[in-house]
Amino acid sequence: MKLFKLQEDGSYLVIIKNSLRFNLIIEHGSVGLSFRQTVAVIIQHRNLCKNSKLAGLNNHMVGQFVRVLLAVALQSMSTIMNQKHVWAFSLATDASSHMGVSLLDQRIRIYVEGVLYNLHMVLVPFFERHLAVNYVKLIKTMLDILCPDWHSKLISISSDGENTMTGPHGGVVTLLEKECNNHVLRIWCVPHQLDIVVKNAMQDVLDQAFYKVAHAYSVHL
Amino acid sequence: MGSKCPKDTTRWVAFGSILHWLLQNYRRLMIHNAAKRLVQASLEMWWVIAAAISPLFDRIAITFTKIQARNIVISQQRQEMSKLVVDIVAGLDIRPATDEALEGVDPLTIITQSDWFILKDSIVMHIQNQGSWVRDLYNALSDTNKQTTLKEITIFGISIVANVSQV
Repeated sequence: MKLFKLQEDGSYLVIIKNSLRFNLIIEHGSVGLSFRQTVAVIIQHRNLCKNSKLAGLNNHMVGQFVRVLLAVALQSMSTIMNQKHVWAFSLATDASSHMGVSLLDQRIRIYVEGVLYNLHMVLVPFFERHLAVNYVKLIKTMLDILCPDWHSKLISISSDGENTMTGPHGGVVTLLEKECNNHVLRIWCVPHQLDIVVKNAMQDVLDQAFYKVAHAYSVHL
Repeated sequence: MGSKCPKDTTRWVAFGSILHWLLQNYRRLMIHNAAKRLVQASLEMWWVIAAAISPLFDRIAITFTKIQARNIVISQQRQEMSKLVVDIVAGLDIRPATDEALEGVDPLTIITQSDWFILKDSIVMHIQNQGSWVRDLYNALSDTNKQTTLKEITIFGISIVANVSQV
């Protein structure tokens, strides 16, 4: 990407010439607007306010600026994870689907200078088959880049109760555990467990007929 | 109808909001069912069970919200789950099916499920506490349907208690 300029020391430099435009894009993105919506809102703003500093905006530019923010966030996370006094961190993994696209969600819990942080590391679209090995491959690639010493620092993994995640032989947690130098504490997410309890209890009522009627109402009305 | 039934989601605890809406719109739905001759038009027994288990869903939803708080730790989540069990046990008067507890109790007056039991009178009281229309629906059921209704409510309550205790 043209925006990211490789420096002699191996780092990258990004120069944002129009900081107002950059800040506006990031602020709009942070409230959940899509790239297109962000462009539309800022163009409306420019037209009404006659602010020439906001001219020349397009979807591609929004994408570039968001990439810059993402790169800075990942770099900050990497810096924290690689600090010498940060000796451990925990991962929280979950997979989900949104609008027909599978996504892998990854959080990291890390203790830095007296504060326990719960950072959202990444949410990536997942185009391969939903196999544990594919999930692990993706997580490993990410961790190898962010913190090459993760094998020694990862002490806990939490996930839902899906077999893909917690399977004793080929589950995501098991496979990641094998990569670690320490014993890894497995945590089965309590809200997910409660959800499964409610699901099982619900399906027992009238041999699922109770649920089917409510579901039919929900679909019909 | 002026309001919309919440859609079923992948989160089972959200099922309570569907029940809540259906129960709130019971009379309108009955008229709607009669006019449209819906296939899924439900039996009176279904409504009694829905009314009886809806408060349990409300209580579970409170716990679910609390244990999802950003600053909560696992030990606090466990405490919340224990409180949930205590409240459901107290609400339905669920008792452990020990030899001492069952001594002198007429088996026809209780419903046993795994290691727990409930007095039928306790469930009837719980149903009656849900409002006059629920009470009237229950009273109008045949004896067989009454027994089935009590059994299904017991199964749901005890299943929640037994499984949450193991989380």
